Amino acid sequence: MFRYFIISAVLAILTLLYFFNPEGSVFHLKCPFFVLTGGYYCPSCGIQRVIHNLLHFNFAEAFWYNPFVFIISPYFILLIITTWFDPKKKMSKLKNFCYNYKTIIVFLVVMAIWWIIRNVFPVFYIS
Amino acid sequence: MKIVKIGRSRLNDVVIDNPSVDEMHCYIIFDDNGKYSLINSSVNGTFVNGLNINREVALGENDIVRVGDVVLPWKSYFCNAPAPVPDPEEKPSNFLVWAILSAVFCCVPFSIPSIVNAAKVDFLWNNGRYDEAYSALSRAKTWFWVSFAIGIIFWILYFAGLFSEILLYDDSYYYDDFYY
Ligand SMILES: [Zn+2]
Repeated sequence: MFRYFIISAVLAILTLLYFFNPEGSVFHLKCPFFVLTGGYYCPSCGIQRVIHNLLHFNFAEAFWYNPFVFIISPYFILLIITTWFDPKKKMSKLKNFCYNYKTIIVFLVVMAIWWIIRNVFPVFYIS
Repeated sequence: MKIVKIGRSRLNDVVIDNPSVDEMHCYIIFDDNGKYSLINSSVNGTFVNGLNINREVALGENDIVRVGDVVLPWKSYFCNAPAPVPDPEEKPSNFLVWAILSAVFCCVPFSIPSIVNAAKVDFLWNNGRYDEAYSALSRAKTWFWVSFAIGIIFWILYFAGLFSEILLYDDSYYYDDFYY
């Protein structure tokens, strides 16, 4: 039941992001961190445009909107599969890897580095 | 004196999740004279050395106590060590996915304590620190809901502001170049 709810929610979001280009639309979801800090990016700023461009097969463009999302996506996909889509627990080793605190520390460190880089060296301009 | 309540309900000191056990199944009392006694409060029966006891019975050190289908390691309840050891296989469902989801889609600074606490759950559990694992899990959940609530409130206010701007200024509204 829960799995179907997740799948339909994801499909709904993907459909919306396919038809509405966040670029130039007023009805995008603005990042709270970006607005409240007066213009600092959060680590996931740009993710709506990443998904929009991916759905339109503009891979290069999608990548440069937020490379961090691409780097962590294998981990994130594994995490979701081992948590919700592995009822017979065939992937328990992978799950232990995903939930190991060392893995999570690496994740947090990568996120912190990316967070600093994108704000200090604005190489990855979003607009 | 120490009283240990045993049963299926979470209100007991020793929780046994088994359908043959009643919500409040029995008590074991360790009195000030160093004697144990067992009080049955279940219709399913409490058995001492295989005999069904109706109400109260004195317990000796070597008596075998069974509630429903479950034999109790009842003497361990009176040691100082944390008595009822949870089954290591019954790891509490981890909150990591939700913590990371909230970091990606909500308000990041408040998701970080959620991720950190979710990361501790498995580590503490695998080291037998069950109580700490449970409290780390509940902290992970709390921080998740904080960042979730902040995200939702922000977007409600943001869209309310956006709509009032459109209504007030009609086509002269602006939006800047940055999107989430
Ligand atoms: Zn952001």
